[in-house]
Amino acid sequence: MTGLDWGLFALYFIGVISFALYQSRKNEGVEGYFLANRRLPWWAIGLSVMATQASAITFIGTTGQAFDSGMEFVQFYLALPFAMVILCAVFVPFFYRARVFTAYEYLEQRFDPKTRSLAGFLFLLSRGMGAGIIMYAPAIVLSVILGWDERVTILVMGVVTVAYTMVGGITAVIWTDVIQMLMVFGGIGLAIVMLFANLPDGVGVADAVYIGGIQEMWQTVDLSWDPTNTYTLWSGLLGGLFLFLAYFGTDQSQVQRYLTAASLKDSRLSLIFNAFLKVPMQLLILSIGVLLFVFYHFDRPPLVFSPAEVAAVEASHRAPEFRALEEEQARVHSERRAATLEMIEARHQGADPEVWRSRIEGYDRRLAQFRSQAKGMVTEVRGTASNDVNYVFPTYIIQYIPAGLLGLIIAVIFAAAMSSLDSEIAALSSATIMDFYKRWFRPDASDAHYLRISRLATLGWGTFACLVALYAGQLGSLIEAVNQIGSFFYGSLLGVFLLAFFVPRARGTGAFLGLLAGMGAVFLVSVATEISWLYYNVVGAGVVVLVGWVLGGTEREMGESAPGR
Amino acid sequence: MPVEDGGGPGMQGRDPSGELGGYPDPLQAPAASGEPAADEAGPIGPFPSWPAIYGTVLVYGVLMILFLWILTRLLDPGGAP
Repeated sequence: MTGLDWGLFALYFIGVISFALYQSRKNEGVEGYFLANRRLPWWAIGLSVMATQASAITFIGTTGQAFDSGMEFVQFYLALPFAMVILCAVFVPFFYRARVFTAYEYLEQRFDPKTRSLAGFLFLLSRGMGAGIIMYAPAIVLSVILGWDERVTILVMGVVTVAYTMVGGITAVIWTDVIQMLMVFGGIGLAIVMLFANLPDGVGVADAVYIGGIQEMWQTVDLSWDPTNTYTLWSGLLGGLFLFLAYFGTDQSQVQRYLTAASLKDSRLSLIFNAFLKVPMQLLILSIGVLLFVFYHFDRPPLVFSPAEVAAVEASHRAPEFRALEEEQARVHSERRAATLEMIEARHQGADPEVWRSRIEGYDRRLAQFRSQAKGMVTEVRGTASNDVNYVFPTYIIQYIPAGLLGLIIAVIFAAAMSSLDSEIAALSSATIMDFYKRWFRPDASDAHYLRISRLATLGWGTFACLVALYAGQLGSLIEAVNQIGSFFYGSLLGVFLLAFFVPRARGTGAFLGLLAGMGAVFLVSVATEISWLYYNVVGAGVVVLVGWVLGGTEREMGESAPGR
Repeated sequence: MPVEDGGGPGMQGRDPSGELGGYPDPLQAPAASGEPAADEAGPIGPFPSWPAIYGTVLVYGVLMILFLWILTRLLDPGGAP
């Protein structure tokens, strides 16, 4: 990193904090703090919705995933436009008209306090830990790039984000998300341009596309019906639809965003905006990974990108084997490079590249095998699965991005992490205060009191997220367990909202028990079957609706009336 | 299933008695500034309003899938027919 890089990096932090504080100066009271007095424009909310979903891991992990296995991951997003239409038509009007602060508050209006509290508790449980992971995962990678201690990276990211979120509330969060998302768009464009620019002379765009196609890296649609395969068109459309309905329709970190809109129309427009832009954005991010795959046909990549993983293997009894594998990789890579250049020459002269294509395909397969073997060694030596995909793109930017632009790209990765973290902290704070503190402990306090406590809650959750991130290395199994609980309840939570919207006979106890039954069903499916996790939300939502519908009839017979009836 | 204002399914949450901690009745919520009252208080359901915009998004979703399928066939020599 040069002085120019550091300057750009510092400018990003100063700019974000100043802009956040300037925009939040009109906030008034707790409604201003959590809902920006319901006055924000749709395009800013739309960018914030996108920024909240796109964390730093989206930027660095997804590119690494595409480097290893191509673009098939994009199928996961294909249901998003359809989910957005359902959300705009049904979910958003219900929340908007109910004038709620949180999604779970609506459940009390429709059902009862216990259903609201259970839903809110599940959100806090899952997302509280998740906020720490949002920081931890990119912090490890950024520390490698910056040469900082992990703890310093976490604290820089955490302190700045918590500070502007605590002071400026949701207004600061959304406006910083706008800047951060625009930076991410710029970073994506810059990375693609740099990748093309770094290809050897004589290798054009069409050649790069052709090379990517040899290993079917551009394959985006898989029509197979295998339910154990996560990335098929059908798992994307069905599982993805339920996942996006659950995420955008029941997760407070997203619902809070569109509740800040000046009108119902603006709330809907913010989601429609995402319906159009999200899939192309993911395509571009994934294409960076495929272009990296193409780029490394000409420059030799490391066998394993993560320096920590390489160091671990080299310090182990597998070191000689690892070095032998590296030598073999260098030899095969050199042959592949020569074959690739010959093939390009042949293409330019109008010859049939089929002979070279078959050879390159063979080299690609062997190099993928070497990488897989090396990652196997990492897993054996470290006792945990390799997360090397997260280091593919950062390794490229350190080695090939010129001074000035490097600082910008690193700021983009920070921006992606911070734009997700600030939203999580704001959502956790709003659910804590509105669904628990105000609901159960101090229902009649003054607005000033709630505002003060809300800021403290933001500070508290921010501190908790930093602590989780700082100790994430030691919390491995606990974090895994919490993430698993999160995957169990998401679909079930969607089921409760579907019950609320579409099943008139549903009542509070049925919804509450249905939520528990849905989580139990997902747990059973996860341990007893091999089906892809993308289908868990379908199972969870289905069981909740079924149980709620059946018990709703029983409750009616026993005389439990629906609220408002 | 369309969910209509004024007593349709899903609107049982309103609480005219105010017994649920004084929550506002969603049906009585005032229209936000700048928003036509008809849209604010209009029916809730799969396609009650904005049919052209929703239709455009749905068509876009289908076209995106078709586009990617064609792209897969065109760009992957191994997968080409």
